[in-house]
Amino acid sequence: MAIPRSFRLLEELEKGEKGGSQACSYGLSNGDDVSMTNWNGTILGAPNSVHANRIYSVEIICGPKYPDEPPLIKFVSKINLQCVDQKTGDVIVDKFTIMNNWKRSTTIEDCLMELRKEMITPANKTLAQPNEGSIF
Amino acid sequence: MSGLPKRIIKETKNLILDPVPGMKTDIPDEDNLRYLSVEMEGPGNSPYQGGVFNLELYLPEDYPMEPPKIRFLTPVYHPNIDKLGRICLDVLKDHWSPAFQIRTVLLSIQQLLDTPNPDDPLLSDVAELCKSNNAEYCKIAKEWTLKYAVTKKEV
Amino acid sequence: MSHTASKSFGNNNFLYSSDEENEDVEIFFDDSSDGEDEDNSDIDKNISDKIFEFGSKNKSNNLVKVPETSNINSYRLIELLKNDTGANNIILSHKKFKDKNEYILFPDKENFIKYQIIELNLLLEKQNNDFTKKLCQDNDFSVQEYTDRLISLLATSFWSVYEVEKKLLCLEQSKDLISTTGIWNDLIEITDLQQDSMLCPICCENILDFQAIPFIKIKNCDDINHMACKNCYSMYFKTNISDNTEIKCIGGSCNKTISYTSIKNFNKIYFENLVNFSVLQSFNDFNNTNINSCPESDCENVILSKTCTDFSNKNNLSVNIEPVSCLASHKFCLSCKKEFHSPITCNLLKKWFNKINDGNESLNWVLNNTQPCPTCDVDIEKVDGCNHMKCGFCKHEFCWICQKDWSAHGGSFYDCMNKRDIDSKKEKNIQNESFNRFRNYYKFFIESENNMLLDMRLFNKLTKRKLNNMSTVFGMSFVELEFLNDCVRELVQARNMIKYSFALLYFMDQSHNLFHIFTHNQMELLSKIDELSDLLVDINMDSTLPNSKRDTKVIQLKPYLIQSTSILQKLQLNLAKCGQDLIFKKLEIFN
Repeated sequence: MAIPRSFRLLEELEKGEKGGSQACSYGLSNGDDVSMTNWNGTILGAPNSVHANRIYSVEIICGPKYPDEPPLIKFVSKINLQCVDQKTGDVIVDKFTIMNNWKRSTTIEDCLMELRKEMITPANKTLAQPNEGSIF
Repeated sequence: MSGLPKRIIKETKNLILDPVPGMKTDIPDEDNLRYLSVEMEGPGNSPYQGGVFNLELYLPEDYPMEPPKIRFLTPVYHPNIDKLGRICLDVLKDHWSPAFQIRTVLLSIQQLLDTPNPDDPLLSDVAELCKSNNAEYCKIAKEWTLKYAVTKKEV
Repeated sequence: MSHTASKSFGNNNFLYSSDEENEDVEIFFDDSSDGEDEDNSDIDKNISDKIFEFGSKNKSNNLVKVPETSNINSYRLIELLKNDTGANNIILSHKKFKDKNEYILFPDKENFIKYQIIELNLLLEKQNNDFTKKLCQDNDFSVQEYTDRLISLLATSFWSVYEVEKKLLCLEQSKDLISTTGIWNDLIEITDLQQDSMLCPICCENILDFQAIPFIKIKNCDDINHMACKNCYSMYFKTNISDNTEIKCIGGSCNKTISYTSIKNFNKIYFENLVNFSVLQSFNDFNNTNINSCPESDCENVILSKTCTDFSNKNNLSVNIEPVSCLASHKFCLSCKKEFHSPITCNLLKKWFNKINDGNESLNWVLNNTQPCPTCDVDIEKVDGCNHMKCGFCKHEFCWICQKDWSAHGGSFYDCMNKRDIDSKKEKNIQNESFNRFRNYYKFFIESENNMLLDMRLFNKLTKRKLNNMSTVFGMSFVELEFLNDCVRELVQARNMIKYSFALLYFMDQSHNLFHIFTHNQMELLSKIDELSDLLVDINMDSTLPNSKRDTKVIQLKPYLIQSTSILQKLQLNLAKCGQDLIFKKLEIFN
């Protein structure tokens, strides 16, 4: 008897509207989308890395089975990470632990914050990055 | 299914057996008895008259210590109801008391449709129109009711 | 009737009681302003000595006046005092007068809470009118318990005794208010219901054993549906207590507030949560400027302004020229509750920060900390706050900001700022000019901030080591060495003021004469700062001298350093006053 999709997304939206965390932000792409499917997010690049001071835009799609199933996340801004498809910008679920081991309690914010942590993992830290501001 | 509090069982049973006039409550998902759907008739002599509005309601873990969560699924043109159907109503927030019931909340929402509260608005543009040009506000609200809350039933 | 409550906040455990037999004891320390700061253990001993002496003479109050600029471990001190005086209710505080205003400083919020409760007592004593007496008689309570009950009024009045006084006057006029403020609305347990079982209207459980799970209601609430079983009331408190200042009857519609006393009896932790939340709320309320907690991280000091100032007009043009600092010497703005920012007003400062946040990221280049020497290309890192650089390799002297010869500056880096401003004026593009102007001032702002932080870090490290060392070598007490701390503190303070003065200048019309008077004052302050900063670095870092010689030099310079400290103070005051003139004349341009 867990919280249904709509009220769960409303909770997340409210948190996002109040500012979310400092390093990322998110909200509905379209304010009157009653189904709350399409979201926009931004992630501030992790400090002490090539990503510092960069701002990455992402699109998030919460399908009808969210939060039982993870959302689809796609980078709009170009970024070179192992878990990001370099052709499309899609986050590859198999290579992104938090989405691969999805729990119902995981939120959009958790995903964005985890992507930020990905930027400074040893495997990703040395990757060459595309120019700032380029898009997929 | 782990124990549903007696209070919730009693309330939902009551709502279905002895419904609030002008309202139909249902449990759309037998696996989640905390999730209810409501069809609410627009109050008479209001711009929402003749419309049937769909709402969804969820009784959170701490209910009744915490208020139920509720929103409109049918679009409503109203200063206290936003585009996502969220409702700005005191009993759903600070003025909630565990002694209130789902029934109380539903009646309050119907009352809110009848008498909007533009001084504590969720949508400032609608509130502004409601205050400055009430006739125009009623006209738009009626149009929305026809467009979203009436045709649906006829199809 | 005696009433004891044990409170625990964080790690400290305070015991405060309102015990009629043990009257409050007030212990005062003279406000001898010539810094009676000593080693912590000395302070402890010192205070406890004086209290012992005082406590035997007069047991009328319980206020311990702590010296300013002391880092007190209030828990330890209170324990010590309790042992020495036998008094229970000990409050640490420090009274201060400034600009006709009275301030009381506390080491933490626990002492503040206790102080306000005593103030409340005094208020009632002063009033001591028939109304209070009758109220107590009618309800069969002692005046002491009445005071206890009034804590709820304090909690819902931003912890202002003055507000409580106003509310009490209203209470006399309208008895209805008594039920809404909840002073007397106690909860009672109903165990004999003259029936075998009863359905709780909240959880809908059928209760059989009224001894184990009694029904609870507000004493004077007679609505049968406003009753709930103990389990429900417990749940009700648990979900509502951490973010409220008052808890209403579970029935809701009667709108009665439950008395704090009842909540305390129900569960002390719930009561503490209520008190805690209400205090934090009054600290954070920007309209409530009479109570402030120090914004410095790790500092728990509280400042209470006894004079009721009306800060509600946020467009207030006046700037607090001389701030009140907390017990740990942190200065902050009592109006916007942030770092002290004279000479700029809260309003303009907000605009300034908005401007910075709008600005683009490329401004970050100013934050760079090293620069090559303009003649020999050796990388030089700035270690102190002065912009007067001297290359350790080729001995070339230059200005950190414009990299030109220091000698061309006439001894101050301010000169180079002036030239830049004029240079940028020549540019034809007006938008560009505005941006350049902002960039220039932002650069100076950031530079000053860096200088301040560098000085702070360097000197704090130096003086700490030095003070210990000198105290043992020269056999001087810490009081005698206080001048060094004062000097460094003033230096950092002055740098802070320079920083904010650049923000102010950005907004001001530079064609006006006052603008130039202001920049002149700023230049004077800066040159004094740089001189003093240079000197302190020299005597502390001169590697040609052995440690002991350097220390001797510091002692020799004592009169000079004391004098310089007071000159810094005066120059800051001048600049602040001049800034106020600028603001009053409304010489604002960019908006």
